[in-house]
Amino acid sequence: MVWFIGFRLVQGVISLVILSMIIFGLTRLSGDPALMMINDNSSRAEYEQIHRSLGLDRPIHEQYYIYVTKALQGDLGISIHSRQPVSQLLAQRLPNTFALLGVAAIMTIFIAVPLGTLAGANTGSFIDRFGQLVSGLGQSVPVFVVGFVLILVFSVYLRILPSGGMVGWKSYIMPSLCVAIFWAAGIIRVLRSSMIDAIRSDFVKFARIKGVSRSRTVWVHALRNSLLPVVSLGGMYVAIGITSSVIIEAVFSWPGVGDLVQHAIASRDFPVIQGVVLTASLIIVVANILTDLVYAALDPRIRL
Amino acid sequence: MIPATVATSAPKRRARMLAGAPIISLSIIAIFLAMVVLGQAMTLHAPNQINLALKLHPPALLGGSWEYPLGTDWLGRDLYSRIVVGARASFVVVVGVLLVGGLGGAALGVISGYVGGTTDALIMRCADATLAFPIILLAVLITVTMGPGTANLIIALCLVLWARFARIVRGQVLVIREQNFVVLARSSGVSGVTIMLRHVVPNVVNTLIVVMTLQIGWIIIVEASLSFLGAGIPPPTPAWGSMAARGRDFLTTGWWVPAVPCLSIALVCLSFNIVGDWLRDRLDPSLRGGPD
Amino acid sequence: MAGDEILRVEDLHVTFSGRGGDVHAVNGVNLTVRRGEILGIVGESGSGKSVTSAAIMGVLPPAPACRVHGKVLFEGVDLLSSSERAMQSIRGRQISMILQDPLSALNPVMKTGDQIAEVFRIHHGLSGRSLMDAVINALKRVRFPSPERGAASWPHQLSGGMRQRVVGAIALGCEPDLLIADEATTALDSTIQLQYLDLIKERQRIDGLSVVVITHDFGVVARICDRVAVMYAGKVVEEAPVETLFSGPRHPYTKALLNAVPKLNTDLSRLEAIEGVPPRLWSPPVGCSFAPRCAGSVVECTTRPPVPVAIGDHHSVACWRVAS
Repeated sequence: MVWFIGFRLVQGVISLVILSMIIFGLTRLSGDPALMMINDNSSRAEYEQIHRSLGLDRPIHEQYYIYVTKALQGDLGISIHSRQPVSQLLAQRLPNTFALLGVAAIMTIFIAVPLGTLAGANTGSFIDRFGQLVSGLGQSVPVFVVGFVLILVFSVYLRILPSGGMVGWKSYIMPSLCVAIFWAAGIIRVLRSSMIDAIRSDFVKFARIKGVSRSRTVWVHALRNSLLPVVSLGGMYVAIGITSSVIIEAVFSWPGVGDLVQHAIASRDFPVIQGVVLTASLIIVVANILTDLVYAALDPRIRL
Repeated sequence: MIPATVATSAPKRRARMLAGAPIISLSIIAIFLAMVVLGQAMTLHAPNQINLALKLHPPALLGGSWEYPLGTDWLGRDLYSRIVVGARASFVVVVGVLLVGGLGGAALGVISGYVGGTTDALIMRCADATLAFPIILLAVLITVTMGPGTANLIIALCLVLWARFARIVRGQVLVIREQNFVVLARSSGVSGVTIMLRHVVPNVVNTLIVVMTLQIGWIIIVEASLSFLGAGIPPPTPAWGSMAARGRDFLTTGWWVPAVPCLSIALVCLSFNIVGDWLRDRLDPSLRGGPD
Repeated sequence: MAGDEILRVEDLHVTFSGRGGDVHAVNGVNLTVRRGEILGIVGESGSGKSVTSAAIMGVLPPAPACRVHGKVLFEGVDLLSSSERAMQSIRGRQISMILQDPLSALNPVMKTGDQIAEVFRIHHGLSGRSLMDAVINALKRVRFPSPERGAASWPHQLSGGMRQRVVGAIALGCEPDLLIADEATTALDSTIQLQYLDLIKERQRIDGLSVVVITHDFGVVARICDRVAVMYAGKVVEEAPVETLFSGPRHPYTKALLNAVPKLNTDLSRLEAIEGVPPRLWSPPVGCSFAPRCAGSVVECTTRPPVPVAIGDHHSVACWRVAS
């Protein structure tokens, strides 16, 4: 057990190192950062001072080392646009994004589990087609389209929900729903196909032979098995969540990390982007490790 | 316990192959390709021509005129013509990513699957690492650091997409490798490269076609999302995603302005996905339920 | 229905609808099982024996994929026209079934003990201490070594033979009147097989359990069955007490089957196989299904399906040549 955790942690660290190198390398490709910090009126001396203070006169591996050590201490640079430390911006915005994703996660469970289970248990039925429809949506339509449709219906026509911002509980509904639909789309697909396999399996047949009712074979026997593949993809869902939140926050003007990213793109504020991507990498690597651990704990066949 | 079904005759099988072809989806794709190929020839007005007097006119079926069939945006530009030109922009990205990322990934998959061993392990580790990462953030990073542009966008998408192709193709290769005709070739001393080219590759073509078609929708979605964020196809090209983004502010005054590009994206993606599923069922059903 | 009959299958027909057409898996099967008797059903795969047992348990796919006609009388009640609720109460409590593959019969993510406990919880409403005792007793009854550890284990931790005992514990837990063993020992090693068969025989002796043993292995039949029915292409072609069948089989198919089994004094350089191809279940022939492979068919064999004819003490054969 300890070996397993240790091994995964080492793998995680290696991944993070590689990712940080890529991120670092890309930003060095963007041209001279010092040039971005000055304006037309600055003198050459000022430029050189900034150049030195950013450590750009050092050899590249030293620069990388400085970059990593600073990052580990929480110093992710200064935003070009707002002149605030990136880590401070992140600290302000991350809770909002997490709140959004948290609500979305709860919605996802209530949408995906019943739909996926019933779709798999009753293939060809209306609910199966509906589940496949939701699932197909996630692959056929960018997430902002769903956002627009919801705004049109609920804000513009029905006027019962706010079209943006993070004010009051009502403002959570539409953006969370958008993320939830896309999360659910993936989960429904996996859950449905696992359920189909499980229901055809011998142990479900045997359970029915024992006298277990059909609904119990579905909701207790088959579902327990089918949830395992869903859990194994946990890391992937975190990545999807991050992606969706970036776009959804742009659509709904939600004051989270995604919104920060969108403004940073417009102003080419790469310290912010760099900091966000690095943080996201950390979150994803941790999420993947946690997923593996949780899965190993849940599947009795993997006894550590 | 339930007995197997019965074999049918060859003519019946062929008819069944062609039957159920998704006509609507294929038509939409045909229209899309027409827009790509004909480009400017299909437009009604200059796509970037500003005409403030005509701003925010509704589409023809909602009270507007047929001269501007899909309405105009806030600068009086013809939405239909902008959609037509935007089609080509998206398509260029799709082709670029499929050619470089798709074929490149497939090649790596063939090598990885056939050679095996450390090479295989190495390639697959890289693939897993890339697959786990959110493409949007990676593409944003590349665009912001290396500058906006279609070429950078294609590079960013290739960096993630190659892994999907590599994985799926590798799976196929692992199966083909153990088939008798390959084992025979190996044991008679035919060189690895020749085997890969002459025997393995022709057998993965079917799979490749299916996977490519299914990925087109994904590429369009990612490109649209990136353009939406401002990190995709740069202005002044009217990319569908950026049209939607800029149109967000007009949901109340002219909802068709964001709706038209959104609908275009949705229809084209859906059509490619449906056709891709249909091709998969015909050419290689074993891919059903594969990785996203 | 006679007083000592526990199960009577009357004119059972089961048809599956597939993309290629209808498959007639069972074509008019008649069987009886007397109380405390072990009936063997023998046949190759595709003979319809497993489908028959599934029909008895009521676990076939619903219409329109699968259509069932006929009667299955259990203690006088027709199971085919019983409600699903009634069937749920009967399954596992009055009629039990054991399947071939013990590993796949047990849910890999549920503890062994929980899966055994389920029958007691559903049918007897037990819980807590009495539930645990019932589980341990069920395991003891199938001679499971260290039942407490067994109950706490996960299915994948047990060997094949142990798992099949667990399956047996579940099946016999509520002390059913009828047990259907569908190829129950096929996946087991030969020594474990014998132990398991003896277990079933013991239950017959002590509890008066009636058993239907479905198998393709005549060795199993010889070991524990009292009577045997031979099935081919969805029909019963011969039915007899075990000794009678082995000493004097009358149906050509039965004879061919018994010939195909190598015995100790058989010249192994020539193993007998049955000529011809397996029956076409999707378009059953007009006459006897075995006629195309039968060496001595007469004219009537291809025009009318043979009906079972009693030719001796509880011995019936469905063959025109024998009847004439």
